[in-house]
Amino acid sequence: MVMIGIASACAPAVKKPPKEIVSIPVEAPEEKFVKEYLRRGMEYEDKGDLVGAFKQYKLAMTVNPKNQEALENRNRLEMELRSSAKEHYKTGLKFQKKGKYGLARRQFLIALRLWPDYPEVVKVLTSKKRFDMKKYIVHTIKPGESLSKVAMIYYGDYYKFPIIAKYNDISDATDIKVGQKIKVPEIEGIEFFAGNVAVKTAKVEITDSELKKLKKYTMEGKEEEKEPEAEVKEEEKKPLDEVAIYRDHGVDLFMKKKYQEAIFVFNKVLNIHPEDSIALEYSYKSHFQQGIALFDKKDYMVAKDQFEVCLQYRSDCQKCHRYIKESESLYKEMHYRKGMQFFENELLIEAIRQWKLVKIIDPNYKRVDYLINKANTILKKIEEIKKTR
Amino acid sequence: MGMASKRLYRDKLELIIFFVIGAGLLFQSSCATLDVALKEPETVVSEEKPLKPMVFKSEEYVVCSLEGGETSVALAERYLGDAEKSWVIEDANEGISFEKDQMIIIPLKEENKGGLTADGYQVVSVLCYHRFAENCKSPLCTPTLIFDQQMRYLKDNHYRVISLNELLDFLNYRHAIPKRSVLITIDDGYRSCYDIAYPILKKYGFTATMFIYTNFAGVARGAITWDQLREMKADGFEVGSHTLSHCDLTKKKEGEDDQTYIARIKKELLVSKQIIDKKLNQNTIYIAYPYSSCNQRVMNICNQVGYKIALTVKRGGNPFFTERLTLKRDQILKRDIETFITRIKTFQELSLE
Repeated sequence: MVMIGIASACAPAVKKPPKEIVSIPVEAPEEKFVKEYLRRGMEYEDKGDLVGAFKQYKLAMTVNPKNQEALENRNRLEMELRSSAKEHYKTGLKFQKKGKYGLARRQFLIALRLWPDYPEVVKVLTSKKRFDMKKYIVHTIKPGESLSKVAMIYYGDYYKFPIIAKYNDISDATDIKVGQKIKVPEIEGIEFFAGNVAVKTAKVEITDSELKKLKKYTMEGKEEEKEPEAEVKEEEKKPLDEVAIYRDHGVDLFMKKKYQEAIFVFNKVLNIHPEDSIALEYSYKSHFQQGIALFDKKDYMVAKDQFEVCLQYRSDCQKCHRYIKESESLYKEMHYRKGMQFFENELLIEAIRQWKLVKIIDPNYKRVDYLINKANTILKKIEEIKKTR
Repeated sequence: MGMASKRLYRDKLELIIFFVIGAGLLFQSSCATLDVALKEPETVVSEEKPLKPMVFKSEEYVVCSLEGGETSVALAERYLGDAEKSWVIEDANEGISFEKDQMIIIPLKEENKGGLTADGYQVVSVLCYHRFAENCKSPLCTPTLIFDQQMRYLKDNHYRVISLNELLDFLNYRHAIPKRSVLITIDDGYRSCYDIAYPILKKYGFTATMFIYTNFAGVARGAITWDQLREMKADGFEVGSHTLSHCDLTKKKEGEDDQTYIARIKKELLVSKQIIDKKLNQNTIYIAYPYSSCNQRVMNICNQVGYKIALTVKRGGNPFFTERLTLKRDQILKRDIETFITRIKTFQELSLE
């Protein structure tokens, strides 16, 4: 009753709405968006962008799942996209069979764009068959030879040519030149022949420098197959001399007396150029300086190791020999004396430990053997006394 | 009047008062709406304007209007359950400002895991650094200010630094990554990686992957320590192998036969992995080849040992369908920002129509 009263009280206070407003059909606000998505979908379709249109219809259905037009358009496009994706996949397979790998890949990518969950395409684009290729022989292409013929020669099967193409990074297997050197890999599980005669692959020796040279045979087919890396490749022609940089860095560290760091850096240089005279010279110097520093700190055995390493770089290093001898004798004397000090202070276990350090290096050093025995005997006696008490 | 009937009477009274107040409010609001509608008949369209924010949801999308003040981070947290996924919303609404009443789309399913468009495909640039110092001349050393400038450029231009883990998902076509994804790697394991690069990267909210060679890192003076690596790892940084001794894996040593050479390479790859695994309590699946040197044999051993991603320093971006054991990287050697900008590639043009 109260509500009615209020409602009626409200009514006279408000003017009647103008007719034109009443006549406008009230549209649910979301329908505006559905219409907009449908319009955009059509626009995309007109432009031939079915993927874009498909998304718009799906958005229309998100706003109103019951919209018949959106539903029909979405279903229709889904069918079209899948069928088109299948066609591109088939074309891709054809290109692949012909050894046109660049073109094949483009077809697979188109198929995947049209149907993002196309299982076969996902597999073909992401799976990486890596054969266990232990050895290979280098085959020079003769007139009239194709990759499939080479596959026939070595595997007894024309259809194994993709293995050779992939191993050699060839994007178009039909684009082979006479005189071109091709690596034919021996593959586990596949018989490897040269005609009817088995190739003794164990004797095939390929150096890594040859392998690097063969990397040149990366070819591209048509314009669209090319990876647009022209600028990049230009820079790669002048490879960075990483070794020179490491060498300079090593010298720099040596000058700053950072000997250990310098040694690591020079090792990198020597890994690549074992004969690099600068790296050898500075490695020697760095080890020597480290040896001296350790010697001064009375860390004699570690210092000795450093001087021994120096001899690997320069066997005629007389200073190194002297330091090695000196390090060893100072080490022995130092621990011998420490042992005596402990012994005098009745710290027998510590004394034995010190003398044992000496004994490892030189069992006949002074009276070290006698002293260890003596200390052990005293220890035993003490133990016995303790027990009898 | 008994106590019970008194309480009943009070309850009834309360109910009536409640109705009166409620009806009053209803009356007020309905009157107000009508009043607006009548006063300005030409603004009937205002009816179309949503009074409340609208949210529509399907299996694949959320379409919603903004209330105002929401950020992509807040929306990602609300609709995707992960604030870190804000890039999904930003990428799906490129060029749209997040203002009140603006309709935005939130994809609930990853719709383009390969980053494919009609004009080409997504690629990921992997940047490669070595050392850092306040001032230095070597191309393999990046001065602090230059590194800061480069990272600031990435931040200001909305690049997103992803991890190798995320890159692996992209390469496996398992998950999408942000459109403007780049990756930062630092080789060798110099101490300056912790002292200089780490604070700068943290400042911009970036992470990096460090490739260390275990004869140096954690061992030598001037090298990063295991504790520092652990600290960085806790901040989302990753650690990969750079072998044991930073040797050229494709090179046989003098007098080395085939068997000894292979055994040595296996040791370089496997033992370095085992050391990092143990020290950092992880499964190391990333390696950077020293000197970028690799061949089929080295790749096969990497595969056997358990590496899932291996990186060279061959220049270029990486699409999802690339060979995972020869990923490309760009060494940042020059210091001018122009050259740096040319190194960052997130898209490769190729007609896919």
